[in-house]
Amino acid sequence: MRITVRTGGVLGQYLPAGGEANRARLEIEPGQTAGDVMDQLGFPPERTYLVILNGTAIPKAERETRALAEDDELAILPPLKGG
Amino acid sequence: MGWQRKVLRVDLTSGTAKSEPLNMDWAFDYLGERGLGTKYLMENMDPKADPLGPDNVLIFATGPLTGTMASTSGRYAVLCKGPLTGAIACSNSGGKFGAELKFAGYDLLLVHGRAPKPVYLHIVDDTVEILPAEEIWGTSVWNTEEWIKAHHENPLLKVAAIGEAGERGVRFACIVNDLHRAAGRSGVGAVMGSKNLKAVACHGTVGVRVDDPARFMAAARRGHELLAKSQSRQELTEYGTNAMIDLMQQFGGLPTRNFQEVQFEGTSKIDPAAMVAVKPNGHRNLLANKACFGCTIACGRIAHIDHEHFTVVNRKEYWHASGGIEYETAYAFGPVVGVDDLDALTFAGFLMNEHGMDPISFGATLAAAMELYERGIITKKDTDGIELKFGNAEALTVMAEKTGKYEGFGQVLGLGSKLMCEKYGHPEYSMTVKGQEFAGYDSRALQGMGLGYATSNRGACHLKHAVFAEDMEDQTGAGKAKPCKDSQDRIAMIDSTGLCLFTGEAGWGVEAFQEQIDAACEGDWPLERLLETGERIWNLERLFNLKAGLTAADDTLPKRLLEDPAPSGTAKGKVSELAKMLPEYYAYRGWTPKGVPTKETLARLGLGANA
Repeated sequence: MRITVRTGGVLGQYLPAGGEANRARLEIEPGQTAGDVMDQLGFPPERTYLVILNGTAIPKAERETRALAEDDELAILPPLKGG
Repeated sequence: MGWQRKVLRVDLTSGTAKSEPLNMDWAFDYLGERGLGTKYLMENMDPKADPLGPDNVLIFATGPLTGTMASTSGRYAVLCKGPLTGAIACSNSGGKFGAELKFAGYDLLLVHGRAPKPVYLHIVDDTVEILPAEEIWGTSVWNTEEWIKAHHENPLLKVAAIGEAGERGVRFACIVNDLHRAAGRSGVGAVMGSKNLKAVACHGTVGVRVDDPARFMAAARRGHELLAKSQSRQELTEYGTNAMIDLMQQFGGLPTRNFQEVQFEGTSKIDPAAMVAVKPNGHRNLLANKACFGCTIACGRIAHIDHEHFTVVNRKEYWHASGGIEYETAYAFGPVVGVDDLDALTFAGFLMNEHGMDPISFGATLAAAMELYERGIITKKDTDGIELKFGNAEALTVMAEKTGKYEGFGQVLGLGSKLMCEKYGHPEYSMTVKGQEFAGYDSRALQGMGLGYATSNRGACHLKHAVFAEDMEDQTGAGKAKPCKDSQDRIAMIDSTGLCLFTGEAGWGVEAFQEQIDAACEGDWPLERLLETGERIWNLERLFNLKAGLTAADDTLPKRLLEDPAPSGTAKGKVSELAKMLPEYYAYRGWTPKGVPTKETLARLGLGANA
């Protein structure tokens, strides 16, 4: 099944080639979680991320347990703070 | 070493300037910059003094690592009692001025009194002159810097100056150094103006020494390496802090139209991608990034405005390159006022630096005025015929210029949103804490941020605490008191070193600070001592505020954030849970339920004499 993955800034380097800037469609297996997708794409596990699934922020624990569905929109964003 | 062990004390009333030894007991207890400045402020003025009167003391404070080889060693702080808040003001700036003051041989510059006529300070090592400023009074920051360098035939002078806004008492006037860096918040520029002090110009050749050079250089090198390989540092270098705007938009914490909403439809027109997009006429907003003294992150932006844009089409004097949009200017000239015109945002930013005003407070004040206008509480008769509606880019730029020059409705905007909204009988539209306007993070989406805003000693401020990771992980108020307090103490320490807070955002842990301080300064500086120093500084600031008359009642948020749910985003339907977080926070701080440090807490921190 296919989902949309969005990201921001330098994290764009982890998206598969061929999409528009910071946005890509991805083919995934049923039962895969956000955590699985992030591992697959190579997001470094030691960094902190903000993960938003269909408009809701999902905490770390849920990233490993909640299975994704067809046409889900998964945003993986870098945490920053600035002035 | 690290410290120069010298303070320059200027009395503008009597026209005298003298240096004296730095109080080393205070340096060992408060480190430098924010902490040491706070101690000197407490000991040199009555916190009840009128912020715009001669008894307010204005302090320029460097840290022990300012001017050293550590990365980001360009920071200094400006301290006084803030006219916007009536609380302690401590405003941090970068650029090159702070390092230059240190090179001239001074840890701190204290300014007392009020000059009978406008003056500026000219400091070259031991030679300190108080000189007439008639030729530059009434002119901009940019003109002032150019004039001073030409007058003294010294292009190596570093200048910190106010514009007309500071001279005329705009409550959020700031001090600008090196043309587009600023000690921005709480109205420190108005204090400088109230003293008839136009500028401080400084050139130093004394140099800076550290206690253990070999150990310091090894630690500094490790600090450089950490930043070099950090991905979050790379983000700051490439995109500046405006990288935040897309994240906050998706998260739903981006204050829009005076905090009535938390997401803005125009974000993609003012984000980092828009800043590098090339328009059909070939214009590209962003030209380069820029570093402060000693910095290897270089998050600063250099940009220019499209010459065909309505703001500058007939004004060649604004065709040059200058400071570009960062996150807070993007928020303050973008979503909070509903404007999505990148050139208008950039022009407004130029005006802030030219006339010396805090963009955050100006933007949020304009947003409040726009809400008053849209609700029919004020009309074109009040606003010089300008249609003050959200999204009106011309209103943004015209009002920015009027406020900078203190003309027309700009004089009302110059009161800041609290006094302005009270003037029109609607204080509920002022989005402030202790009179200071919020930065670009909504407290309903970020609960710990809300607690930090409510308890920050200088009024609403996003930089004095750091609970971003906790807030993104858990969007309730549970468990936010401890990370809020711990980060407040840690940041108070970092703000006292002379280094930049953004190193912590770009790969450094506290150990990196500890190693460099310990090597540069006499004495032993283990981590526990440094963190306790931060806690001592926080409590001393609190004591200043309590003496100034602030109470726990001031540790609050506007009704809009406590009662009106976020209409969209990940926090849709949520309000701030401040009422739950605050008692937990006071208890964890070792304060009474009324927010007063207990005798035990003060004794533990060596502040027992203030009990």
